[in-house]
Amino acid sequence: MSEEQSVEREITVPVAPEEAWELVTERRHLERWLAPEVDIDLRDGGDVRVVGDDGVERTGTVELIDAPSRLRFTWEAEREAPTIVEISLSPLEDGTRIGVVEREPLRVDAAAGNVVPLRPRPAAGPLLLAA
Amino acid sequence: MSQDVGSTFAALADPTRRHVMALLADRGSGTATEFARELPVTRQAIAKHLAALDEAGLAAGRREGRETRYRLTPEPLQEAVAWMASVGAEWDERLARLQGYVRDNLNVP
Repeated sequence: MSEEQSVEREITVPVAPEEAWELVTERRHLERWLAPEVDIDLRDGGDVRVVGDDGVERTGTVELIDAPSRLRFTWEAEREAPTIVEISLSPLEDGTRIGVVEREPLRVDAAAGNVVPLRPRPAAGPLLLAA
Repeated sequence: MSQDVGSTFAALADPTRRHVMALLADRGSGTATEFARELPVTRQAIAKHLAALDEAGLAAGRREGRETRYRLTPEPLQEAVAWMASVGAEWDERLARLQGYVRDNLNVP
């Protein structure tokens, strides 16, 4: 899985996981750091709408909520393929580690035992990359 | 992310394929027969890897007699690297803002 297209970052904040969870899920906090406009309907399948500094609007869906440790949602801007954002919190002695992974959606090709991108290549016939 | 970037990475997930790609980069071009002399893999397997690289847009093949000669076309790779750089920079910025926000709003008892 380490070969897939993904970006990973993490920071440490000096607050307890419960408080860190509020930072990454509540609009009043999110709009101070994630983007100027953030609207996340915090339930499975809930709508996500984020408008960045550059005015780019991304919309998506909440895929997983597990307070106070994991939030996963999809987002996509116009003319861009969707990606998945996963924010995970882990407690530390004196704070919380906040990890972020942004990656493209994958499906597991059970027959080949390979992980391949969910999206087929446009008009290129069947995906041969698992060959 | 643009449409092809994911397949670029998927194509490079196989170690033998990366080896074939490295040979292509080193030699400028090559055929399955040529590379089979240098790798502990059958000609047929290498032909498959070369075709997969072609499919992912990382190599381009041209018929040459009974064989296909491939050369590297690294543009999709550059696109993939560009995606990682720009998405990474966005998160660096957001997380730095979050860190500053927490620092400025910490409740000091």
